[in-house]
Amino acid sequence: MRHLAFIAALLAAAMSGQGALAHAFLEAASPKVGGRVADASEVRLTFSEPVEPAFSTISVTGPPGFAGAGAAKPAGPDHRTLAASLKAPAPPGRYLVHWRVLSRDSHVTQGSFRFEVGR
Amino acid sequence: VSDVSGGLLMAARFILVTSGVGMFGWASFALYASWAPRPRAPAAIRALAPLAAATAGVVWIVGLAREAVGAPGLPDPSVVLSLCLETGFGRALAAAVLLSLLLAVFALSPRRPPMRAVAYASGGLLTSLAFVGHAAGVSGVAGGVRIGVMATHLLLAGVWLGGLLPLALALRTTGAETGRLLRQFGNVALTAVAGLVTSGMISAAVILGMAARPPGPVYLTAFAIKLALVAALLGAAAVNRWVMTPLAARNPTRALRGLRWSLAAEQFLALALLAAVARLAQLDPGM
Repeated sequence: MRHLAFIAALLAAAMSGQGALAHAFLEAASPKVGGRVADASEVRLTFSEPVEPAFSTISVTGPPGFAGAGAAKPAGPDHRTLAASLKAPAPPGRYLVHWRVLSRDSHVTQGSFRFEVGR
Repeated sequence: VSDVSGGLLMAARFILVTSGVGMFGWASFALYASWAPRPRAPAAIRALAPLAAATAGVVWIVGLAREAVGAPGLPDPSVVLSLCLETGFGRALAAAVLLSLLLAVFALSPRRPPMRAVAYASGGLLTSLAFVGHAAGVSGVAGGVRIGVMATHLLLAGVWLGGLLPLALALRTTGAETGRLLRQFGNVALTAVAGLVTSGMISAAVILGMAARPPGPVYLTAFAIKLALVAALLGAAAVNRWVMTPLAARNPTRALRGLRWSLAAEQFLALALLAAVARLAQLDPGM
């Protein structure tokens, strides 16, 4: 009985952590995936598990006149969020975000999505 | 991850884990069955496992750096160094390589090394591998518990599966002590299997229960293959424990003949299981 209680406690502790296990996938994005915003100063991505910022990139391409995005930097204490500042101005038009991250469990994942700036 | 890189990383993981399991099993066998004969192989053969482990560790690190950068060809040395210093799994793999080199020094030394030191070094190698893979995906207390469970799983696999080869070699010369050695190994293996099954169930429950997406068919198939191999291994171990061990007490010669085959089958299944685990560790559960 004591063994079972110990195993149950271990299982509960192991499952108590925030975030999902096994490979980092995009959980939330700002601007939202496929969304439309009036203005954008940065792209902020939250993943399903912690990532290694030094080996993770966010690239943003946009309409003519868009100056690009800065390097991806950690944003938040849980190491699951990265942010890349957009070089002003972010003219109206369609933007493509491509992310590639190395998660703490050593796996590489990548993906892309679009968003739109304009009224 | 490309197919070529995925295959290379899987092979590196398989070689490093298998070498670690073998070396820790060998050292722990020498500690709990210190009275049993232990023939010493030539230096070149003794050094094979640690040098293979060190090479696999380097290939693993370079392969991960290449994947992290996402560019073809060999990565820049500064990227490899940065991966080893700035990431948790990079530091763990670097530690595994250093411990493998230490084990190679032990293996090449003309005198028998202290088995306790070999056990610590090979146990440290296996423990470091718990920091590379699905268990290392979360920080905090939960992450620590997951890594602890995985490290326990790897060490117990070493005690059981890594003990099969020294057992098979020792049985060649034990003669009348065959039954004693089998009982001793059986008791240790039984405890290790109980811990392995428990830690394996906890790890599987965590990975499947907390995956970002529901388990996909590729992952479930690989998982089913692993479970089938575990079942086959447990079956072979049960034959050794409950058929061969009592037979060894009555008729050692006949038991040894049967054991040669059943231990060879168990070692073959163990290698297949470690290969299946290396494949499983590469997969995203959602696949």
